[in-house]
Amino acid sequence: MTTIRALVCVLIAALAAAGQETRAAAPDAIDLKFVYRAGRTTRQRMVSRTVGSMKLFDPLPEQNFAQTFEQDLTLTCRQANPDGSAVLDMTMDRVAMKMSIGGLNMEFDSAAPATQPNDRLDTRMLARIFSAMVGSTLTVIVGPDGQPSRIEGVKQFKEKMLNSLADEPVPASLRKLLEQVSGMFDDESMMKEMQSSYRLIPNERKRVGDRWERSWNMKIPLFNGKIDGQGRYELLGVEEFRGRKCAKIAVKESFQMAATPEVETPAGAAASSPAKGLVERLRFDLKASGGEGTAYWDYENGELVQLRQVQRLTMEISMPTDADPKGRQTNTGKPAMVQKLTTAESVDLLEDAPASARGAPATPGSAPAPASP
Amino acid sequence: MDTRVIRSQVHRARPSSGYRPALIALLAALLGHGAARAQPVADADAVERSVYFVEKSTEATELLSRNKLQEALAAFQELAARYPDLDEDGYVAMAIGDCLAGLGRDAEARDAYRAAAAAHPALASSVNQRITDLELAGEVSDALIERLRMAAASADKGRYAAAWQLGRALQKRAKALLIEAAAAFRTASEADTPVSRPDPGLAHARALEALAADLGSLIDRLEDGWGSARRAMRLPDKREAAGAATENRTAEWVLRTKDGRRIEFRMKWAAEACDSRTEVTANGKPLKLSDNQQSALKRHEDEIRAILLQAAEETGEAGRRGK
Repeated sequence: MTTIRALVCVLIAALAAAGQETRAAAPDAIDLKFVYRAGRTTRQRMVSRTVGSMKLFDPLPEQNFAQTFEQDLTLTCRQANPDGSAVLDMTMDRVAMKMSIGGLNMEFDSAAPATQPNDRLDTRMLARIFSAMVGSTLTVIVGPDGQPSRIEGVKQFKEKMLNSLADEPVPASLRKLLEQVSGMFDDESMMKEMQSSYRLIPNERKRVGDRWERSWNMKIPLFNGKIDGQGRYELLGVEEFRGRKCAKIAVKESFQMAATPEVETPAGAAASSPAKGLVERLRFDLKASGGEGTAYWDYENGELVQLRQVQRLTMEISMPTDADPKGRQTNTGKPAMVQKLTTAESVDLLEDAPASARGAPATPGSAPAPASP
Repeated sequence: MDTRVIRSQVHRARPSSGYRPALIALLAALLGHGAARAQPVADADAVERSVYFVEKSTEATELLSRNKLQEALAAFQELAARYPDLDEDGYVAMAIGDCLAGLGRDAEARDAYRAAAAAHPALASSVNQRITDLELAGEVSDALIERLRMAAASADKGRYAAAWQLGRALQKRAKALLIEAAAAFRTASEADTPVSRPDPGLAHARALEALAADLGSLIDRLEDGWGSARRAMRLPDKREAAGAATENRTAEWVLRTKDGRRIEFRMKWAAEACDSRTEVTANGKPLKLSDNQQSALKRHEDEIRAILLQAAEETGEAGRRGK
């Protein structure tokens, strides 16, 4: 989810960055539309931090959880058509992750792979999968309305990741689980994810104080469910930010998960595979609160300069137990796993070039360090 | 990029204290519903503050997970002092208790957990579990065992967690009883007897002590893996556990049964840590082992390896470096 979300956020920015014409807009009324120009490249760093407690199935104890996921992405407009549609190449340049749960720590940075420990199967698996992600390119076809209409390359992307584990002694059950989870993502699901994230940009002219809303729904195959979301946005003002003329947009998004469909397990019958059975039978209940954020949008160049958003999530995962040979449920009443997490998403444009030279390749590492608020 | 511009903007967004939410609430109350509608959908200052809180909470959790408890405690305490309004789930409040518990400051940990439950009633069950964990870390009392027995036998949804803790309490008590029994047999063996013969009490005491040590290593393994919230979960690391990695693990036994049959057993343990199954053949034919049999072989293999390693170190036969 994080990966998809991160990819999506970069796409939003890059779409706008890819050739937005400079407009002589009035300070209080600005055009927030996607315009593309062939050859234009945008790079962004996306950081997602998640922290909270994870309660696993009883009787396992509650654990403290923290994860930081960083991605540097490049999006290049390969083709811009007169009708406003475009073809974009989205490439992952760098992936880094730090995860701590209980005393288990995992860390990987594709920019410094040699420094990673490789004496454990789990850390080796992580390194292989992430290394395979780096350099992979997805093709995004954008329609005249500025919305992505097709994504290509997800299948190859997934195969590359799975193949990276070919010579690792991954237990068969875990390999099947990975394949099962991977199989839930395809071109269609990725496109839906991207479309839903376009809601931030209204694609029309707005004045300071204007508000707009979006509602959406999308399937989440990993959770075997569907999400209904609603977003409210407001153009707070126009101000200079990082030396650019930016629209300051307030974000407030919420979503909830629709009921997960029941998966019947015939009495005494096993699922087609243990891994498949496990994933299919999980029931997810996701509640979100918060969702406040702020975006700075360079309306002259059509680039997302910065986005900050915080969301609190409570996810309950439960699983009906196997029926015994006579069809009776066993161990009924086991409480669900409860995860209470808070996620902070950050997107920053990577650049060192002065405003006059925008359009040249961006330099990584120039995102601002956060200050204590 | 002119970083001075960025810094100045970030600093401008910094609230001086936690007064802002209170001020907004007061204004909303004074101006009524219309004023609430006029509020922007998100306050940029509040967003920056929340993002910072998540970032620092993440860093503090990493410190806790890496067992840098003193640093983690300071970080969580600062978060609790500066951002009490953002700790909506009581995560920071609980983590302070976890750090104190990890540092062995049990009384302070207990107070911190109770304070967390007082501020966040939804945490009552988690707090109860952690306070019981603190008791389990010390000498197991009869009162604790009785309380856990009752909780495990109840219809409450926390009965599975209580049963887990009851198991941990009882096995710890069992180990203490084994040691006490061994000591009793040793005392008995000191009595003057008119008959000069090998003392059966002493031999029995040694066997009980070995059992207690064996049970102790089982308990340690469980506690390391899934013991309590205060003790970090970690994956087993064979190299760390045994002080050495096993490159080749095979064993042979040739047995002669009472009726004269000869059986040649060959055992081969899996090379990878993720696969702990042991392959056994009898006269070349594979044997099917139950889960209990597999588990017993694994446990004894660990024991044998530790004995061999210790003996080799003691006799200076640890071998040379290299392949």
